[in-house]
Amino acid sequence: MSDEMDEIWALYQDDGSQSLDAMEAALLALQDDPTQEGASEQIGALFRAVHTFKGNSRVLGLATVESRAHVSEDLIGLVRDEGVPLDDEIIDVLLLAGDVLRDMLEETSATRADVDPAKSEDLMAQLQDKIARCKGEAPAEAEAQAEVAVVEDVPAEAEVVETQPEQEVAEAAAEPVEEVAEIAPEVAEESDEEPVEALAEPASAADEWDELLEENEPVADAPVQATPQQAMPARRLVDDPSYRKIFEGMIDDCIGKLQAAMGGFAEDTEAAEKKVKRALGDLSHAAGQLGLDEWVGVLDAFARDGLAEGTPPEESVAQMILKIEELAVVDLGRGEVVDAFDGDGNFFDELQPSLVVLSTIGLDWSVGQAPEAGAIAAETDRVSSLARSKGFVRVADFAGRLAQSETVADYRQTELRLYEELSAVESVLLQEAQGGKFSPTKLLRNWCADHAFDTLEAIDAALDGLKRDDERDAHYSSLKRQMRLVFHACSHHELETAGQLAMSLVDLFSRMETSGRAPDSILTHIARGYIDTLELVFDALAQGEIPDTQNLEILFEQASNAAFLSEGLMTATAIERRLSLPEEFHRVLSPESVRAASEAIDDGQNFYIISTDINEHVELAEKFLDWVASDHVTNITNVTVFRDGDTLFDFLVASPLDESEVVAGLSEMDPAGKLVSLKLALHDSAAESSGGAKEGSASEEETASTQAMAMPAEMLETLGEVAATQAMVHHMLSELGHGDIVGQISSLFQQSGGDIARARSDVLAMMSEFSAKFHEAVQVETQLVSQLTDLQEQTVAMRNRPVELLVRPLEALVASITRRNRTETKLTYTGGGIQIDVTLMDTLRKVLRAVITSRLSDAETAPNSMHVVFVRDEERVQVTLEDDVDNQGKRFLTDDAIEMVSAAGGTIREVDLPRSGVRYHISLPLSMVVLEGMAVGYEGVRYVIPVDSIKSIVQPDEGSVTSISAADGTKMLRVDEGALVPIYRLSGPVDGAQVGRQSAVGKRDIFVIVSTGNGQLAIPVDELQGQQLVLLRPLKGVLRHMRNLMGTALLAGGEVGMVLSTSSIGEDIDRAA
Amino acid sequence: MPHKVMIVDDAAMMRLYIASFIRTLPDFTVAAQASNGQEALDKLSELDDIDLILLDIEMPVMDGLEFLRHAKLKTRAKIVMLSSVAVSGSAHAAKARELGADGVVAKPSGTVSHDLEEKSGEELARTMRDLLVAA
Repeated sequence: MSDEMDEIWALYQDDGSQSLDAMEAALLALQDDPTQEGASEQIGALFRAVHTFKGNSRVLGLATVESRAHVSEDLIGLVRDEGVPLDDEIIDVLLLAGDVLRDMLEETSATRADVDPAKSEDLMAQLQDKIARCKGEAPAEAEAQAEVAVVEDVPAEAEVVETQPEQEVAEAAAEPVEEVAEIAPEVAEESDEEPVEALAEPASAADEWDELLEENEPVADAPVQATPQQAMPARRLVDDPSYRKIFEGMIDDCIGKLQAAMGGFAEDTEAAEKKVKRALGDLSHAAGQLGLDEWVGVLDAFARDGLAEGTPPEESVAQMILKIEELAVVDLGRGEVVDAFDGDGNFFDELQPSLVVLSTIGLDWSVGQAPEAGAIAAETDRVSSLARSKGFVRVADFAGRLAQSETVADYRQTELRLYEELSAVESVLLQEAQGGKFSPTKLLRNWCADHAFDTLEAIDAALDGLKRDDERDAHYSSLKRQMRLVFHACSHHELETAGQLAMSLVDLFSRMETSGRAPDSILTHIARGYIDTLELVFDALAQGEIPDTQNLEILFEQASNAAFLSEGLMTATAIERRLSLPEEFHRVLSPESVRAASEAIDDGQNFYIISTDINEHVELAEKFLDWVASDHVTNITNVTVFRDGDTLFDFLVASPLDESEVVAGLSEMDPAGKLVSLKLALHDSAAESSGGAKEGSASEEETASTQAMAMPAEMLETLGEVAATQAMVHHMLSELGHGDIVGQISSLFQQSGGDIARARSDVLAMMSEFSAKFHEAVQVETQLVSQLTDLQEQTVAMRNRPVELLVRPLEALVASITRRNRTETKLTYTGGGIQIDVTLMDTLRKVLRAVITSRLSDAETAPNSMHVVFVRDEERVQVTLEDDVDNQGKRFLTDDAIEMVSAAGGTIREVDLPRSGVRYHISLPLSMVVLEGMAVGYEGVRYVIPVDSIKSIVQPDEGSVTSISAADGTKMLRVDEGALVPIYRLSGPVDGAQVGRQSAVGKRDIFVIVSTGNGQLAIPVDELQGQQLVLLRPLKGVLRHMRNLMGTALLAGGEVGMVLSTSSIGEDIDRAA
Repeated sequence: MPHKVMIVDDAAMMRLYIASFIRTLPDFTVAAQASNGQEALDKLSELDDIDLILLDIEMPVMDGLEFLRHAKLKTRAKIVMLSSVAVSGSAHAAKARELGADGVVAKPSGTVSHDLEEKSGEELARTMRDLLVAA
């Protein structure tokens, strides 16, 4: 849409510039010789140029610009239409106006906002002053009433219409300058907020009106043929049938807009109010031109004050609609407008006598007094006739059926149906109903409330009948009918949810009926629950108590999910939650959609929302629909989105394709990305929390899916064991903790009566028992640690994926790019079997994607083959991507790729190969892996040293630390074998200078000797905390930039330890050496 | 004589697809199309022989529910709400029934799709036929 606006503004600037050029050219030509032959053509051209400029400014909501152009136009109009001589003063002020407007054009084109009116007030004053003097008014007065005076000075508006070739003078009458200035800020504000709307709406109303008028008016620049003094007798434009027809169309358009706006007040009062005012403004504009002053007064007054009162805006607008309809009847002799009742009296009041008679007949009949022949028909004919005259065919039909009733039961049922139809009429003719004394809706609801228990009983019977499955159609029919009556009863008691549930059940049973099946047990259960609950509710109401309606909410939820539950599906709500679907996709998933989504979730597919503007682009629509119908995309559902008057669709799709592939696919359809674009990539929260598979081939996906299904159960079992063991430990420790050992010993001594040997023996026995319990607790705690370790390993295993799952989408990407660029590149790989965490995999995928996309972007240097090698060591995953074509000095490593790698704590390099081709080295630290670590403390900081890298832990003599003078005093540790190992200090910035440079080495008496790949290091530590399995977490935040660390880990006791990367330290030391 | 159907949907594509689906049903014919409720009301006042209206809910100018409210007074045509938001038992479906929709059929998953006939066509056709037979 922004591109469209760009075009519109560019057009505005271009057109405006041309108009102002034309204005200037005409003025200069006239300046040379105002009386020249063809001067009238020049004046006509001048007028049109300014008129066009004014119109364009108006379209873009530039009220100040428009007002200046408008007054300029008025001045030209006086010359063109009223015989005012074109003097130098007019030419000068118009040239000034041209300059000012040109400045405004530049400014507004740049800022896309209206200009400050203050800057052009001087011009306005000059123009208004000149207009006033041309018309013989005093300047002061002119300032206040310039525009009104244009018309007031003319004897009759109709004369202006008849005699002036251009309607703008009349238009000016409807738009006093002051008023334009007054609304300017609002218009500008609207322009900012709703540029397209502001553009679209005038084009469909006022501008259309102007165009229509122009089509019907005399040629604008035709020679002036009559002056006001020579005018024809007064005749209003409204008397012209063609104008009237156009105007009537505008009335309908306006009413339609008002009705549409009424529905918008609840959502956005301000926007709805603007729409109302705009619609009324357009109509007022047209009414003014037709000379319908009363309309202008009414419409403008409402636009100004109508919504400022305390009355609800919907009601005010409804009254305004009625007023417009009344005016249309009075001034245009219009008959029925929309739903206005065109009878002399109130429709419902006129029906009432007949309905009373019909009701009495029904009552009498029900007590055995059959109606006399023709008594019913006499009244129903009247009802039919009245209804038919208004086009209410269904009311007429049911009145007719009433006359044909053969039994009293039939009669009463049909009478109810008649009232239902009348109630429907009442819901549309609100004003009519409110103005009358008789409300069929109230009567209907009262009756249904009075008979609610009977109705519920009838529903119960129908459910029984459906259960028996005899006469299914009749039972369905009865059930639906009675449910409607329940709905009316609920409406009587203002039980909104209950009423809604009744209609939900009608819907569910109707669909079941259409499917040709008997209702399933879930639906029957809901329906029975409903009538049981309602019985209690109605009973409570009858007793004057507050009913408990909580169960209704639950039932309604069940009803909403009935279609899913009955098919054993995940509910729509569950899908909404799992995928975190945006609001617009809530409550729109059908059972089919839910089924498709469930299957896609099980398959580990990705979900996307794709925004499309294809309603008017058939060819693109075809392409898109082909795409969503293709094998690799599943269309789940779509929703309609209204934006700036356009109808758009948002599609929810599932696909094994990853985000970049989807984007690539969409780009092929719509390279500019204006009409079809990826709006959102969704994530299955449940899969993420359980590490569900996201990528892979079909078989791998199947495996991953199976794992995803199986592992949670396994984990749950382990968790259960952990919880049980933990409870046992807690119980044991509590027991031990609560034992009063000192008290017991004291007691034993007392009981021994001074027999120390006995006391000692008793105490030993007690302590032995205590010790046994303590050891038992320790054993159980050890078991607990083991279970937790299992759990941790299971979790990690669940998150691990073979890295080759990356390759397939990469191959697809390569194929897609090469197809587009008409090149050919083959992607191969080795080392695909290594397992890495899904998060790391995701990072690696994005990095490789960025690198490959960039490398293949240049068709000239696109390689013929690319080979990826995946390698994983204890700390990192190393990937090299190598190709075979010279890059001609170009660099393809993008900032995106560098940033992604850096964010993950890794490195990436681009290296030109000696022969030809490029190699990328990508190194990313492993994350979310479990490793066995030795927790150590050094200068108050906790570290974890991977156990696999530890060669030994020593407590050497002080003499074992040697200073190597040849190595600039570096301290080394002599280990058992006699070899010298560099000492590496942990704290402080890590670099080569740290090696051995610690003055206090002598105070440290514990060294952890680690392998670095190329050698060994001795790391002094203050304490050894012990060995434990730790979950390696990636470095985040500021820690991300710390070197020689693999990540962090949570240690026993809750402390966070930094996990050392011994290989990285080794590399640093090598470099330093 | 095939039953005459009016399609009311703001999406031109959807109208196109529904119309092409209707053309596969020998007992129905598309007699009119409208892009919003107001337009449909206008056409309805000119065409008094429409048997069935297939109606979308979400439309500009006048939505399907508002159209339903008005149209049900003045036409005997059966009105089937064909909407993706009127899922079985949902609030939208309930409202449509309340206002007198004779049938409510959820648009197929992937509403604007080639496989309308395949996915929801059967249900739609059955609903249309049931309603007209019942009438």
